[in-house]
Amino acid sequence: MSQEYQVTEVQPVLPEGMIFVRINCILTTMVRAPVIAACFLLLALSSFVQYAIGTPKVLDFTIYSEGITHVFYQTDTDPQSPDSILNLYGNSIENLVVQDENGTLLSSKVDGNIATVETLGAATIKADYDTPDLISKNGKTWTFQVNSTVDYSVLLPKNSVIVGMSVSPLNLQTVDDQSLISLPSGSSEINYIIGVLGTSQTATVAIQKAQDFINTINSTGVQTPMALTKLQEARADFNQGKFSDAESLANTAKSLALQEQQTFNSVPNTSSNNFTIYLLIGIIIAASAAGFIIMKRTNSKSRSSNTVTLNETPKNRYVAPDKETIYKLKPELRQDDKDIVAFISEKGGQVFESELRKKFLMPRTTMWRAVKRLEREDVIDIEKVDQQNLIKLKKIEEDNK
Amino acid sequence: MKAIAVILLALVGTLIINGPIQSYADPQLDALLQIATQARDNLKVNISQISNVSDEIKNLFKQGSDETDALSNAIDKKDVASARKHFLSAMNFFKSTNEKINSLGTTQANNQQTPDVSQLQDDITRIEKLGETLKTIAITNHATFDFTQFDQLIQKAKQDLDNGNTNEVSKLIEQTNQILTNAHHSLTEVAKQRTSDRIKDFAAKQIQRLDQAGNNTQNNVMQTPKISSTDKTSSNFTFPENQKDMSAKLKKLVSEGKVDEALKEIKPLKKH
Repeated sequence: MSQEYQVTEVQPVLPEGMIFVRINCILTTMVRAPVIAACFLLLALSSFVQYAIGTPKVLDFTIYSEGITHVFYQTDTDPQSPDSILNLYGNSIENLVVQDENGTLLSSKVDGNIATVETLGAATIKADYDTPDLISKNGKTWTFQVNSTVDYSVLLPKNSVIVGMSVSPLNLQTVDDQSLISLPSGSSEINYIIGVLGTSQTATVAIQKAQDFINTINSTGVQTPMALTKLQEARADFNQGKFSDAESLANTAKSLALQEQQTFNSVPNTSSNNFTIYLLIGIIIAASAAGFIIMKRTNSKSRSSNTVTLNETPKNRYVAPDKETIYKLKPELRQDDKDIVAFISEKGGQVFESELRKKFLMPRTTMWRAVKRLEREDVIDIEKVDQQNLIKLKKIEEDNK
Repeated sequence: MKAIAVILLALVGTLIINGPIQSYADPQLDALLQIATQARDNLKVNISQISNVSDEIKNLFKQGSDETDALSNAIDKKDVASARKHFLSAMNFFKSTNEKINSLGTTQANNQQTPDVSQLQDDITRIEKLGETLKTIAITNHATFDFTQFDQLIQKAKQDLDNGNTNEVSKLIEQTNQILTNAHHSLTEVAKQRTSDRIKDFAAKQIQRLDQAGNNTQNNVMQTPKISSTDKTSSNFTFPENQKDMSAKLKKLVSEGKVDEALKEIKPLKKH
């Protein structure tokens, strides 16, 4: 047998592409095969082990445009332990729900940013909650700040553009027109703004739609001078970067075009009726101008009303209770509610809700909830003044002299 | 033969250890460029809206823009380390540019561009998601809470938003918020009520575990008589007698309905 192998070994030249393998090499390789198989098995098993070890925790942040962050956190717990401590992101926690791996709702107690969850045998807990504390706002720039011990993902609001980032992301995807960023563990800060490019896009679309509509009407022989003028104004504003105004003007141009078409269709073309058309156009222009002036006045009034109304409010008729009295009467008030009461008290017992939002850098809904909470506690009254909410500390009425 | 096997095993070992780290270390470079380019485009629009742009803003923006170009070049060369460096540097310059623009106080025109409609839309989305979560929890936990009104109000809010009736939408959002607060409160109560049942189950499992551990320890003690006296006293729960006592105590508390006290007794056990 071995001699036969020797014969094959001395064959002079093999055809190109053929590999000559000695039979003893094949045998050696066969002996090694279990080792190689064991290695492949180890590699295959390692991927499962890494998956099991590497993914016990999930942390997702979903940011909403009004500054609230929804947090979803999933982690493994000791099934032999009756409870588990959960560190929450933020101090003001709302809508906290904790479930186990089967979706059973678990009872929990929150103290500051720590939640004690009665796991009672659960192997995994999933916590969902909202917090406004991870977002701050300066001018038009929003900042999301977090320090996480695990890798996490952040879903930014629609039409948001990142203008600053302190860490290099692991990944970026677009989900339903929203940026989903994966970030590594550690401290990170994301600065973003909402709406600038988005408004540019919506303005472009509005102008295009208005132009198409006017072209269609013009093609039927109807002239639309007013609509075209308005569309030119929209374009001018767009070129100056006034996207919001441009969008508004484009929509007006479309409406005017429609009105001009309706007028043309409903009225026979006589000289007397020309007068009616001009009259109608005049009325529309006058109404638009009047509307514009009223809007301008309303805006300027509302801008100044924060200070003017407060100064003009007759305070001698009311004596706002001082904050200490309220604290004594309502000792169960939350600290952040006490801060709001203190601020209102400093401002003479009444402020606009917008002032509170500015002072405490709180999103609209969070502040509204705080205000409603204080109203329920009979600490404040809410009044509508110039389409704004005026928050008043419950006043001790003196004689109405 | 043995040497080759050892080398193979070593190689496999290295692959196992380094595999996931490698895959995590490489970020998607296109993502970096996308973020930096978006920031640059956006700031360019912002700057174009300012009448007298200071040299400081121009310089900061230019440096950020140059770093973005450098990032693009690094990506072309597949130089991950350099790309990361340029990305962070670019974003830092853009952040500073943005802060300077903010400090000018000329961003009121832009602020007004943030549409209320978009915020309301986002608020509805958030509330709807929260509602869905609470609905799922209510179904899973067989809790009865009627979400019909919530669904109706959300639908109405969406319709009103489409019709541009933003004031009405705001009111509806507050109403839906209130319903969800009630639902959350109701579910929290359900969870509290069911906690005592869960404590009973948990205590039963712990009693079973203690009994099992007690039997095992007893067997071990019988099989290994050389155990030292100091080891015996080092833990209260290595003794089968103590475990039996504890088990009996827990059984008694549970049978008397004192589940909270049983839980208090169980808590220190975890430490052992």
